[in-house]
Amino acid sequence: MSEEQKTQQDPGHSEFEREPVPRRSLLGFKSFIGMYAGEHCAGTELMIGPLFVAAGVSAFDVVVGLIVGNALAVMSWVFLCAPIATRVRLTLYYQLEKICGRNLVTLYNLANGVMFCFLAGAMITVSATAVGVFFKFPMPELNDMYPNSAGWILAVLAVGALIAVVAAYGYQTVAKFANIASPWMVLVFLAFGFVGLRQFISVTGAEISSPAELWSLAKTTIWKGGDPLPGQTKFTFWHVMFFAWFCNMAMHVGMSDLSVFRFAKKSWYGIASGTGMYVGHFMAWISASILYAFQLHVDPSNTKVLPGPLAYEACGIAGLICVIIAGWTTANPTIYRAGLAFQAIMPKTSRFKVTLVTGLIATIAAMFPAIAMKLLDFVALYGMLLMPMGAVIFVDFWLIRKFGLQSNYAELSGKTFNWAAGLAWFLTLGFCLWIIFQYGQDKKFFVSLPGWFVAAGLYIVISLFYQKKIRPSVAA
Amino acid sequence: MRTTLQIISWLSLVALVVPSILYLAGSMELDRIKAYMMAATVVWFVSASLWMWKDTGPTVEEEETVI
Repeated sequence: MSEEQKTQQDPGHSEFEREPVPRRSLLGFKSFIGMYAGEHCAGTELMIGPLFVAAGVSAFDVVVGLIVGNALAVMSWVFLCAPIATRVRLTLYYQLEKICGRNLVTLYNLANGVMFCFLAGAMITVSATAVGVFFKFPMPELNDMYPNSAGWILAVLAVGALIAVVAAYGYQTVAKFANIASPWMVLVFLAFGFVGLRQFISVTGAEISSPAELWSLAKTTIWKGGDPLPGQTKFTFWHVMFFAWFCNMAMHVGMSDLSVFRFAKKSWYGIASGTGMYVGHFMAWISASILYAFQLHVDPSNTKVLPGPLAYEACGIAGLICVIIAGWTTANPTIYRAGLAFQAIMPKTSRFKVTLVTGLIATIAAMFPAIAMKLLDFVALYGMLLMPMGAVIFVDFWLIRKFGLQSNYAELSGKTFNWAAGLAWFLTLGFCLWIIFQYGQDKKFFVSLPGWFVAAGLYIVISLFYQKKIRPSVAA
Repeated sequence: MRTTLQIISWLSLVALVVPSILYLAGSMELDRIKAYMMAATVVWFVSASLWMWKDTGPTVEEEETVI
């Protein structure tokens, strides 16, 4: 079997999975700029932008909230994630295994895999909306929980099956295709914004000859604020800011991107994430939200958030292709990664079968439009679920030795389940859920901030008891 | 050959976005924008695939899933 064949069969394999990345394999700043710019322009951006409008954002809330929130996200990469990544140069999973033990990492994998399945489901939903443009079957409404037509189910099934089979067979081919598509996709998103803006100018008859007049149009016509659409949570500046900061929380605060920045020569390369934030999570969200705001402006009763028809109206077939590719190229690695996470739990099962079954689960999830239509809520919960482990890694690396405790305790003690880390995770989630149920559902967008400090504190306090009890045997 | 393909593909990206800028400026009709964008899309995927396919190997981003 050639090396190429081996790689194709085991495309998730990367070098240095269980050793620090050596100096010769480090990458330059440019690699990270390109990667973040392309990767954060995904199918889900076409849902998030419109959902902001459905949430009743005002122009100031959305523009300034995104600028500030994305800056905080970049700072989280620069000051929390990249400094540890460039010092230990290990993958997230290996770093976690050293701290938490293999069994706790398996549990983390399971949680990650389940969330990946739902996320991939939302991406399949996005792609399936493009199919509806051609076949004219009834598509989901904004507040639909369940599939509303046989045509929708068949479209999701066809798109999901295709994505799952491709993920199982040819992950690398799609990854290559995604790299080629990404500069094109970024510019199509930009075109969405230009076209949507012009449509607003034409319909309202506004004269735009200065930034002040543009801002006035934005305030009074595009992002008017006020009440959200029925069934949606009202978004203020704070909601937008925290959403932009925490929507990739699993990656920066949650430390998933240790696996990425272990290849960086310097920790300040974390600033490269700014390209992804301001291209994908600013420009793309703004563009997609303009298209949806225009749809509402023309027909206030048409509240459907359907990226396919939105993109088709704006940019024709090219826009439709963008929706399909954006959903497909991001669902593909998501299904693949979910498959890897599940396979870690059932190592004897073939990766092909696991990926196919994972794709099937994601496809079934995609049939239920509630996941995509409630994407803002889902993304907030996704970050919250994985955030405590980021706090554990941060404390374990920077602080725990100052308390006379051991870092990488599972590795040193031979434990397969570090209860200090496990309890810090579970109790923090309990705390966050209590806040949400006690003080209101919209607190899910904010609760991860105090949750991080709770997780950090719990890990230290529980470790004081847990490690103390076993320390003599470790020393021996 | 590679340089020529690169020039063609970068020009196709220019052709992709410029019509929408002209539309924003009120100098072009929407139907023409859609046709130009479709043509630019075809040129980009054909020309870029010819020189980018070999260049794009597994990279660091395969480790993660993003939103």
